[in-house]
Amino acid sequence: MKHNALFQAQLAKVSPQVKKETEWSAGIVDNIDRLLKQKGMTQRELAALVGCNETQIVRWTRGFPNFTLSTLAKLSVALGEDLVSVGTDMVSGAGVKGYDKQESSSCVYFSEPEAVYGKNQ
Amino acid sequence: MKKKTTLELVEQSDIVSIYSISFDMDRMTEFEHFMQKFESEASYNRDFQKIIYALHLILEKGALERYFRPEGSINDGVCALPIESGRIRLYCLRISDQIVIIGNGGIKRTRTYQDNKELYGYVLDLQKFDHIIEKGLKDGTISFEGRTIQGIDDKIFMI
Repeated sequence: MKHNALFQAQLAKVSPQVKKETEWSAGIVDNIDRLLKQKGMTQRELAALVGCNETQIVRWTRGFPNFTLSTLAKLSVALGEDLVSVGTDMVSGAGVKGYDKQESSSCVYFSEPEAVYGKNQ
Repeated sequence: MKKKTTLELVEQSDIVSIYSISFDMDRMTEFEHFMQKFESEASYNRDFQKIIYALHLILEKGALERYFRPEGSINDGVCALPIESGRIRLYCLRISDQIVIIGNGGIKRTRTYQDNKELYGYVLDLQKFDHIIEKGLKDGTISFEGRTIQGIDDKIFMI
């Protein structure tokens, strides 16, 4: 297994807040993708339901977008399932290391990682 | 003028390999130049950290198409790793769910990368390398096996 010293050094400097933000962003993109596939819905159909153009949908489904609560609400309503579910006590993410869905009544739903990498993290 | 280019494996997980290109026998890859450029840039520190962590997630979850945004032309595989809230772009070739080739990147100050000489140069380098890979796949000198690119060891490409 090859590791790059400079990359590992930069990775070690990433703040917990940035880690969480990036994990949530990827998790929500994963969820949108899963729901679109489950429902057999195209991005064009999602755009029509949300009331925006397809370019905007692409911006929310590719890369690591910065979602607003308003956007998450619009997409959740259009997809018929909450992309993020938040309780009153705390937020946790299933499938993300360091978080345990069982420990909280509230959660941010993420897809399961396909493999574990960077055990030293 | 054509540049001597080599392809180096820089980072690997159980499911993904990240390669980068190196020019004119430079001991550093373009990805390392990118990291060196931003590691001490305080004003872009948060965006840089997001890109580094996004790469970590890609190594963990796979180089899935949805994590990249097409950035070159229709005929090539050049993508950007965009962090929407930020202005840093890191350009790469997403070969498969298991292989990514990373180039260099910079700050996107213009509406399109074509308007920025530096970013346009990085995209152009990857477009040229994409053509070389395409040609290598056709003539059988390059192949992809899982997360490995075969046929690149000690090879110098002219781009």
